[in-house]
Amino acid sequence: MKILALGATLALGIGGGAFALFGDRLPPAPVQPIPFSHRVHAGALRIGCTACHAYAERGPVAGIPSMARCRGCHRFVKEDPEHRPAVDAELKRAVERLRQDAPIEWVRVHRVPDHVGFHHARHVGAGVACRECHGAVEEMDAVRQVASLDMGWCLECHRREQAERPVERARLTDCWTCHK
Amino acid sequence: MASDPHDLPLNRRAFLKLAGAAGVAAGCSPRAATQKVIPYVVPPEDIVPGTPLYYRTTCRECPAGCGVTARTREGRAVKLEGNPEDPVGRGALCARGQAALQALYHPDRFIGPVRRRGATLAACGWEEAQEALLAAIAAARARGPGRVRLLTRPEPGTAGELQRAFMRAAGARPADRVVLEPLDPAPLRQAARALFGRAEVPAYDLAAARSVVAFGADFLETWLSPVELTRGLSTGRGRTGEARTRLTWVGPRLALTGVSSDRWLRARAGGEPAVALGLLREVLDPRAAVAGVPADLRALQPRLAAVAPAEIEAAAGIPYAAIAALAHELTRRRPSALLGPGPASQGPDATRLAALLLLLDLALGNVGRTVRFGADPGLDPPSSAAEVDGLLASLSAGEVDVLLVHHADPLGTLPAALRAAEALGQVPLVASFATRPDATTARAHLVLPDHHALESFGDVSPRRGVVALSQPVMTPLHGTRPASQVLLDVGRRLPGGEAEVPWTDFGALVRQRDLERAQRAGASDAATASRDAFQRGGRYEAAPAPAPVALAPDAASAAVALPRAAAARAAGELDLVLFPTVLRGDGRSADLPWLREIPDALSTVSWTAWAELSPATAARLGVAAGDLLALDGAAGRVELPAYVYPGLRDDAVAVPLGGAEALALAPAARDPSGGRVLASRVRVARAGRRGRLPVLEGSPYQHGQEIVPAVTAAAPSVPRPDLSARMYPEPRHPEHRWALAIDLDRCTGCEACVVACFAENNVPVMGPEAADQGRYMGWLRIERYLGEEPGGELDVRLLPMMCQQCSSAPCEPVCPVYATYHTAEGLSAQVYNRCVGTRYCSNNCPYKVRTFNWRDVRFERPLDMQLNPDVTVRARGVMEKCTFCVQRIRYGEGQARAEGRPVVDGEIVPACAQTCAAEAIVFGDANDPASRVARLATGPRGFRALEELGTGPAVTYLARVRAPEDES
Repeated sequence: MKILALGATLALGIGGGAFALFGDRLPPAPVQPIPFSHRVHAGALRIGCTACHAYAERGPVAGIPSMARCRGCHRFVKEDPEHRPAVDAELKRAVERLRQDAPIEWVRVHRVPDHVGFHHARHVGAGVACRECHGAVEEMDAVRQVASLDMGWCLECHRREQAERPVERARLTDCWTCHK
Repeated sequence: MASDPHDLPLNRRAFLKLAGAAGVAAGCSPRAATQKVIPYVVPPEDIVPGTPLYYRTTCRECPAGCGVTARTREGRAVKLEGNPEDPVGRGALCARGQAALQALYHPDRFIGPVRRRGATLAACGWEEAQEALLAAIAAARARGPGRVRLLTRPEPGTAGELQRAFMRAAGARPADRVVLEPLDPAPLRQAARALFGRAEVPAYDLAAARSVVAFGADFLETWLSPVELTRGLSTGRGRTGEARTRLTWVGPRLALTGVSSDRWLRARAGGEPAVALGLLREVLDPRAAVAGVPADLRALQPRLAAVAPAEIEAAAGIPYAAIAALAHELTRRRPSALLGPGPASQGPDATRLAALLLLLDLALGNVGRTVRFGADPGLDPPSSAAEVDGLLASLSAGEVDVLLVHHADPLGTLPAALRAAEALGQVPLVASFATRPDATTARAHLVLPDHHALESFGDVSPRRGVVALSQPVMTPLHGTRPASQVLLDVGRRLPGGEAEVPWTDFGALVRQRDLERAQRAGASDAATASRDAFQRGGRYEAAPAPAPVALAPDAASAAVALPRAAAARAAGELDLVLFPTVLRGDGRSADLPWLREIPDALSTVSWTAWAELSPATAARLGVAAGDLLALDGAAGRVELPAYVYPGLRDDAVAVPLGGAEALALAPAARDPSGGRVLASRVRVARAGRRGRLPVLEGSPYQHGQEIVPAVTAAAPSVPRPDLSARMYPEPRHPEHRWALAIDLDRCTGCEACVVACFAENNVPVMGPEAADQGRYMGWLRIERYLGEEPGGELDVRLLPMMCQQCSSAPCEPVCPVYATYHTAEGLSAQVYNRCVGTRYCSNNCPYKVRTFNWRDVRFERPLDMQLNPDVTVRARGVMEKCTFCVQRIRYGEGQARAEGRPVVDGEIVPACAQTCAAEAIVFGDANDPASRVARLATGPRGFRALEELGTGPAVTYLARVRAPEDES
């Protein structure tokens, strides 16, 4: 166990991301430039996913909300005196950032390799709920990857769906359905 | 997290194991270094990330002015296609039009203004650059008229209007603005002026012509409006018998356009006017009984009859009987169209040749039907060669203080014998608006880089009734500024300039001009009408009725003078034929990687110019392909690698235009009417060394294999092998079976499809070294065969070759890692990240359509911005090949599914088929018997490449139709 833990440390130190070899450990949530909380927005405030990730239902990419979208609410929500002072300070920092019209450079959490043509709208349209891949985002402060996003993981679901209607969904396990 | 590793008991063996594993893990990890995702500040309204957004604009690569639909992704242009609503291109683009994208993303582009400091051009600010220009022009203006000159490409629109206003503000005379179009068919315009009093180039309606005769006019490559003319010819192709349009090529060299012809009259260089004269003699002969010949023309008949056939034969260099046979065909098959002269036949008699062709058109009743005057708007006709030479003389004489160069490259497109470099050296300030370095900017003092056409507003009127509008399809990449805006800014600040240049913003002026057009057209809501016009790509009215022409008898009489006999030839001298090619054009875009990488369709040479010799001449000189030849002319001397081409007369040597080599050889002569003469003679000798000549082909002969069969009216179908005996069951394609039909009777080998494929599929450019090794990566190539055996009859056949998506693909079962497999839709899929590069598949492919990535390709910034995000960029060590544009298939299927309907035939179009001006390539579902592809594939001309192998290709070729000689 000790050795395994050491291995993981080494791998992360040298190349970053040894989870493929060392069990199913997924990377922890990255440190984002602003401690944006999905738990607050999606959980406590019950803002729907597509309210911010606007293209998830109509395009291949869900989209990171534009600063204009953030500003839509934060034009009014500028401070948070009721909660901890730290939260209030972060919020004020974010609002200041919005005022400058500069984008926030988020650290990417979910990524599929370049040779994969993933299409959000197709999946949403087929009735796949956001949480099936992204986990219980509304319970996370900083979003982290909960699924491995590797091919086996994709196929698990594709095979299951195909088994239900093998003829109509024959293509679900074709390489060129996803590989481009 | 684990505790500090130093605390752990760790021996050397365990450490190495772990370090090795960690290294492997790092190497294999799908997780690259931390990536940033940067959101829009304000999201653009029209952009849905990951989906294409289309803009209409206009191609400015040549004066034809084809409409463009630019596909953009996330705000950058990734692919250019034609505009189906535009009557000129009708949805197609040529090879150079497709490649314009690489000019946009060219890594060498000027990213801001530069000013000469000693030997180099150093960056300066726009303010400094414009101030310098303003000061120089103001000073020159004060010294009197003619001190400021402008050399520009044709600008038949608002930009031209602005240029003229600017020149007035600069105190210039109208003649001080010189319009340079290197491949302008000036002789034709001159002849039309002399004969009909109309200094214009007629529009040719080849769709209505039953026979077409081209005198060196490479109308399927660069001449006039190649996309439109290709479409016109192709409408009459693809059928057997009388209904098929016949094409005759006249000239010393069989150009690519000639390859589409049914008959080649191998006239000697300079013998074309004699051929035309012979034709006119026969057509006007009373025995031909051609009805409707104007009396003034008929009156010339006795003079023509007095010319002895032997004289014509001697001047033309071909038997008179061949001329008479063609004349007989033309009298029988009306209307026809006689096109010419092209650059390859632009000798000292070119204007007379043009006049004879127009007289023939008139005699045969073509004028007003297939040859239509009144369509040339004449808004900004190119200056004559005499005017260009006059400008150079003024420059040399030190009469000019400021020379402005607007998208013209005199040093890179004019014959070196004109000594344009020396002339420019006498000018204190040469200011160029070039977007990237060319031969002229190397001598310029100031470069004020223009936006690329895809970043600019503009309008051109390539013909009456068509206004092609340009709009930016993306934000400018660099700190460039529209040249017209610079002229506008500078012009306004000249003394009294505001009166001449009353505008402030060029983009606004273009929109204002269109608004006025909308108002003139009587639109109730002009603003909306104008916006619609920009969205459509232009304003298209019905073609004007052809203007009636009246023949000037004197001019006609002058044109039928006796042909000049061939001058005596000095020892070792050959006729020099300079010919344009579709990829090299006039040389202004010859530095674009796609155009250099893709092999010339006829010679399969890439990355270099070459000199063609006929096999007999090559044998006489003791030259083999690749030997360096020394070409020595009055104008200059060059060394070029030899290419042995049987489509050339024995008394000629041919060099492609579009490079310094041809310009070094081109004479400085002009013909009597002021046209540029491209023909001359050169001494040709062996240089005694080998040169670099990357050729793609293996053998250019079919060796009796019947790889590309042809059909005739008598034998209209291709014999197919009996494939009924099969050991294995046919693969099933329950839903779709994607297939292609390629009509070889329409295909002209123009290579537009090849460039489109490079653009669509991120096909890498490997460079000249790789080309030498045959490591060309194109997914689609134009195969061409010259005949059965070397020394046999010349019978050029073309075959666009891409992955045949075989039903029983030989490549698939040999892959040890299942990286290639057969999809349910009939495609032979390649999964790049599964491929380990054994190359077994390539070895087993009978069509040699799989290419291997020998090295990682770098898409030099900003060339990488052109990459199609829907297609993987392949890494070193994997195979790749044509996918039938599977990304487009998936997109089409996705659209259909989103709308809850089946895929409609014709909805999915791969990049090659999309840009085919001849509509030779048709894609569709072979499972649907009503689809176009299925109907074409079952026709009698259908055959499959190497069908006897039993691979079951999804590509059906429709055999070329051969018209027998006696049919005429």
